[in-house]
Amino acid sequence: MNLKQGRIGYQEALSVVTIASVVSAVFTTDSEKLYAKGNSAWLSMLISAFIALIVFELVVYAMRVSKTQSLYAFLCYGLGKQLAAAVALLVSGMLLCCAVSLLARFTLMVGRFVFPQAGEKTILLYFMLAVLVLVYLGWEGVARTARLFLWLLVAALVGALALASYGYELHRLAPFLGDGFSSMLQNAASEVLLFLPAMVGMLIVTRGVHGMKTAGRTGYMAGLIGGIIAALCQFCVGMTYSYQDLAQMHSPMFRLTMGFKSAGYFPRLDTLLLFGWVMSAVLAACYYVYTASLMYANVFAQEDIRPNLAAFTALAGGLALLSHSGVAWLKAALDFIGRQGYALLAAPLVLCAALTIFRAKTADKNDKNKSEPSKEEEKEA
Amino acid sequence: MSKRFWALAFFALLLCSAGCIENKSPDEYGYALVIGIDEGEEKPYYISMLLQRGNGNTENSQGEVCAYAAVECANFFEGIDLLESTLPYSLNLSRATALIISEQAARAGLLEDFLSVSLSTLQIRYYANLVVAHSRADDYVRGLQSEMNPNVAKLQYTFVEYGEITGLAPSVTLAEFYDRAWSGAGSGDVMMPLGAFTPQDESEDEQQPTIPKEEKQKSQQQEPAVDILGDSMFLPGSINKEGGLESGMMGSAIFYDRHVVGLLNGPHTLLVMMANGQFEHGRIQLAIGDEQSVSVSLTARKAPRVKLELGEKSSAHFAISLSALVERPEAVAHLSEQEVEDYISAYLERELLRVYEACKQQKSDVFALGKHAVVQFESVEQWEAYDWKSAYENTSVSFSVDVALEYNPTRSRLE
Repeated sequence: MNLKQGRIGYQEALSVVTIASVVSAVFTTDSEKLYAKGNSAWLSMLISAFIALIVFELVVYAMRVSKTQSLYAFLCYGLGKQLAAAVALLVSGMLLCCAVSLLARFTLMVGRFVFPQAGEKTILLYFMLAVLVLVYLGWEGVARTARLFLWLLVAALVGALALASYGYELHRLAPFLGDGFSSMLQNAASEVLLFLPAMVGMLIVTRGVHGMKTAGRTGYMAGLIGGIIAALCQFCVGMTYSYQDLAQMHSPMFRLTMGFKSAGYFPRLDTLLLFGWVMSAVLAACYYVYTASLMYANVFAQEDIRPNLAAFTALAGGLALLSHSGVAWLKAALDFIGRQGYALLAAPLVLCAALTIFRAKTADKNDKNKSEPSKEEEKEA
Repeated sequence: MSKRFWALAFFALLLCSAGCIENKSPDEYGYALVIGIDEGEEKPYYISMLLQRGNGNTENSQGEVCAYAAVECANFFEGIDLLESTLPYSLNLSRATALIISEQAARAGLLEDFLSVSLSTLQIRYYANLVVAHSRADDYVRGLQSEMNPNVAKLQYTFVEYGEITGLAPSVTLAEFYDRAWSGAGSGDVMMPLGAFTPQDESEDEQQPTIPKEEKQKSQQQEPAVDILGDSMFLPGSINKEGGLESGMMGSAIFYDRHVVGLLNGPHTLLVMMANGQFEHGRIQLAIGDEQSVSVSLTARKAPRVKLELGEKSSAHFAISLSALVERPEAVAHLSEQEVEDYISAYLERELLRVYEACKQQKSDVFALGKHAVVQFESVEQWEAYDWKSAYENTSVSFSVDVALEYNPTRSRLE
C-alpha cells in the first residue's frame, strides 16, 4: 500500500484547502462573464461560498449518518458500486480541471506580465516540475509545504489590497445589485465551482487528517475563510475598477498591484507579489492533482498511487498547454465546465447525500424495530 | 540514492531543454522612461522616447543623462520595431513613468487609438502618468533632459507631489484614465495635467548643440494658450521665466470621453480639484477689502459632500470645507475674522460656478457628478438606459464653501 498519504494535523489541512479555495476563487474567474452585468461579484462570491458550504455540510452530515469514512465509501453506500465509480471518476475529473484551470491561468499571467518573450510551454515546464516534485512527496508533503506558504499568500494578497487602497471608491461598485438579484444568483451558482472542489477534496483524504471529524471541520472552515477572502478581494477590485473596465481585464488582481499614484513609491512590486501567488497556485494545483489521483486509485482499488500521480500531473500539464493552443474541443469543454460544472459536481453529491440519509434513517428504524420486542412477542413472554 | 540522482538529473536536463526564460541582463536593455506621442506627417504617429541605460546611475557619466530617439510610424508596435533597429540595445518599456501627448493629437483622438492596444503586451505599467503638452510632445520630452535632472525616472513623483502641494495640476495615471474614459460616464471625465514647454534663450541653446537650432525653432513655435474661461494667466506662453527645466506642468486639459475639449489654467484647475475631491493644499490670490491681491493658503478639511437630484432638470449641490490661512495677516487686520471668511467663501463660490458652467459648455464632467449619478440606480440595465451625458448638460449646480480661518496675527506662514 503506497498511497503517500501520511498523517497531518488540522493547521496543515486547513492551510492547503484554504489556499486552494482562495487561489481558485480569486484568480481563475472569467472576468468577461463575471463583470458583464455589473460589479456585484463580491456579493455573488459570498453567496456561492454559502451554497458550497450547504452542499458540503449536507455531504458531511450524510457521511456521519452512514458512518462512512471517505467520499468513495460514501458514494458506494448511497449509489451502489457501479454508479459510485462513475460519480467518483467525475469528481476526479473535476478536480483535475481545477488544477488545469489554475496552471493555465498562471502560465498566461506570468507569460503576459513578466516574460512576454517566453512561450507558455517554457513557463509551464517550470511549474510542472514543481508540481510533480511536490505531488510525489504525497499528501503530507503538500500540506506541510502549504502550511509554510500560507502566510506568504496572505501577505501577497493583503499587500496588493493595501497598496491599491488609495484608489478605492465606492461608486465603482454601483449599481450595487449589478443587473438585479436573479442575475447575481446565476453568477453565484456558477461560481460554486470555485469553492466546492477544494472542500470536496478534503473528504477524499479523510484518512490523512485523522478521520471524518477533522476533514469536515477543515472543509467547513476553508470554505468560510475562502468565501470571505474572495469576497474581500472582489470588493477591493470592484472599488478600484468599473465593471466595464473589469469585463475586459484578464487578471484584475494583477492590475490592482499597479494601482499606485507613482512608480517611485513601490517600483515593480507587482512582479514580486505575482510570484507569491504563483507559489500558492502551484500548491493548490498539487492539492487538486493529489486528490484526483487518490479518488481514481480508490475507484480501481489501486494500492500504489505513484503511477497515478505522474499520469495526472502530466495530464494536467498537457491540458493546460493545450488550452493555450486554442484547441476547439478543449475550449468548448472548459467553457461548459465553467458554466455548468457546479451542477455537474454538486448534483450527484446532493443526490447521493439524500439517498444516504434516507437509507441510513430507514436502516436505523429497522434496527430499532428489531431491537424493540413487538406486542405479540411481549404477550408471548 | 541513485534513484534520486537520476531523478534530479532528469529534471535538470528537462529544464535545460526548455532554455532560460529570458537570458538578458538588465544592462542589455534601454529603458524608455518618457514616451511622447505626436501626429506624424506621413504616418499617423510620431513617437519619441527618452531612453535610460541600465539602472540609471549617472555618477560616472559625463555626457547626456538619457538618449533621445523618435520615429514616425503607423502604430506603436511598428514604432518599437523601427526604433529598436537603430538602437544598440533592446527596448524595454516596463519603466515608463510618463506618456506625453501633444494637445493637437489629444484633440484629434489619437490617445484613444493609442491606448486601445494591450499595454500589458508592451509591458507598460498602469501607474505611468499622462500629460497633455501644449506643444509638440517630442519638444516636451526633450525639454525634460537637463543636467539638473540626473534621473528622469524620479521626475514622476516630483510632478505628482507638486500637484498635491499646490493644487495647480492634477495627476492622472493610465489606470485612472482607463477608468474614467471607458467607464460609461460613471466616474466623470478626465482632467489631465497640462505640460508647458518653455524654450531656453539663445545663449543657453549654444551650449547644447545636440539639436539643430533651426529645427528647434521650427518645432517650438506655439501660440500662448487660453483656457475655456478665456484666461491665459499661468498657462504656457504667458509665463515669463528663466532657468529650470524647459518642460514643466501647470493647469490641465479637460476631456469629453477620450478627447481633449479645452484647457484650464492653474487656479481654475485648483477649483475643480476642490470640488471633485482631489484637492489637498493650494493657494489663491484674491482681493479682500482694500487689498487687491492677498495670498491665502487653503487646505481641505474633509472630502466635499455632493447631493445630486436627478430629474428632468437635475440639480446638484457641493458642500466644500476648507481651512484658510491669510499669509500676510496685517493686510486684513482691519477686518473681523468672519468678514475675511465671507470674502474667501464668496470668491470661491463665484469662481467655482463660473468654472462649472464653462466645463458644462464643453460637456466635460470633470466635477465628477457621474459618480453621484450612478449610485442612484438599482440595476445596470437602468443605468445604461439612462442617458447621463445628456442629463449632465441640463444639470444646474450650487456651491457652498465653508471656510474656517486659521488666523494668527503674530506669525506669517513662513514662520
